[in-house]
Amino acid sequence: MSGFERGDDAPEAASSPAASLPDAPLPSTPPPRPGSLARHGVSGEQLLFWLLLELWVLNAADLLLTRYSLWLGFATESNGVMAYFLHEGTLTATVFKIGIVSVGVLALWRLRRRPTALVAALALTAIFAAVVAYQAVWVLSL
Amino acid sequence: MVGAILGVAGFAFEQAHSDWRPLATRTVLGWRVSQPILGINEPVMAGDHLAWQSGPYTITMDLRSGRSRLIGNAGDAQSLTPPAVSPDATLWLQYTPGAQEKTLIYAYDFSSHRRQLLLETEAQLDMPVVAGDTVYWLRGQGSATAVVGCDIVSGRRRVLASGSGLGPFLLADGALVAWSHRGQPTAPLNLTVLDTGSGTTTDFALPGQTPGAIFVPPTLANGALVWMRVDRQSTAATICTYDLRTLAARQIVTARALVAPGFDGATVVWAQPAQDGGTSEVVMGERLAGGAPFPIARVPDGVQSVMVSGERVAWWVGRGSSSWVGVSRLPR
Repeated sequence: MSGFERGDDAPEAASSPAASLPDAPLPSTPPPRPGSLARHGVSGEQLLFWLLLELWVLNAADLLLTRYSLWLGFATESNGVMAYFLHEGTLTATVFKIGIVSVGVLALWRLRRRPTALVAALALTAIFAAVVAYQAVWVLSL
Repeated sequence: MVGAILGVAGFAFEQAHSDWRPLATRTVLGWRVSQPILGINEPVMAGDHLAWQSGPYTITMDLRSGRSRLIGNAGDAQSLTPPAVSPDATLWLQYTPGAQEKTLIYAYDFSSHRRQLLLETEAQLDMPVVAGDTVYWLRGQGSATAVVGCDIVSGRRRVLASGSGLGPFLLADGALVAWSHRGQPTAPLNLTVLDTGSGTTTDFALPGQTPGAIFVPPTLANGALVWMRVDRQSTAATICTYDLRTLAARQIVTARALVAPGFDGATVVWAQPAQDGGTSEVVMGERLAGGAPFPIARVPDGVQSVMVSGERVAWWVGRGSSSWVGVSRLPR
């Protein structure tokens, strides 16, 4: 087990075979705080899942809108790395952008027991949402 | 959600602080367009679109909806040419100063909203014109000049003619491309008309060339030329048409202080001082199909140019920040 996985022992015990034995004591879980996600029936893990899915979709939308804006001739890619890959070709840029964000999404999912994963996913999704919303409104304004 | 709101708010903030947006007001028969601070420079009209230059910006306006678009921002470029426009596209040149002096040619397609950098070159380019989705320009390199055509969609370029003494006029409409040339500075101005469909060329001298006459660049539309000739001494101006199929010339009007004509192949429009002696001018029109000249609009003194396209007529008045463009329907 990796160091990351060690931090997940307690929640994993709830779904382990030992926990399903009738005589085995159930792990004690603290009561949900007022206003917390758990109180609304949404676990942090579920939220992280949807955030990461949204992040992945927004990343794909960002790629499509960037490519379309470049085709329209009014935009330039300000990210030097992406500019290089876009210069190499749309397929290369797609493989790189989708690939690197997919790896990031999977890494965050692996770290799902850590609160920082949720914070990072929230921040990244918000940034991507802002970028995609800006581009979408700009394209619609043409 | 917060991110999306921030993105939309950022866009709205950016738009609210932009200085390119024109002020377009609906009038009874059309539009009145002005550009606060920067003013309107050299507007052109074709089909449903008006295009003009304003400071470093190149702007178009859809005359059906009144919606304007910023299609070019020259930024630190030294100068821009006024845009040329067809019902399908608009075209302009941008010069960049400095050690890496270069000329950029941009084209904007009205249907796809796509802007293309057609060419970046160190050669000297001039007189951009557009017909349909093909653009043309004069390219000077050393003492040689070439007429170059470029398809906006494919980007394919070809040299239509080359030699010395080509220009200063370059005209295009439909399949016809015409350029002026003269063997010697004092020789009469000749015009070569190339039919790009059949590949045939016709050469002729512009009629009415007399010593001391100034030719305002002609307009080519629907197989006919319209131009204005001004006599240097008497300042009397004459507007003529010349049918390239029948080679028949026709005089439209002769008067002092005429504003150069606009022409769309069916109607000639121009501006002349009002006959009651006031400070206003009258925009006039005449249909080539027949009929007498008719007044279109009475406008304040200072008309710079007039334009016509189908059932719309436009006039550009004033200079600098006080300049404006009036657009109206052509009387039936």
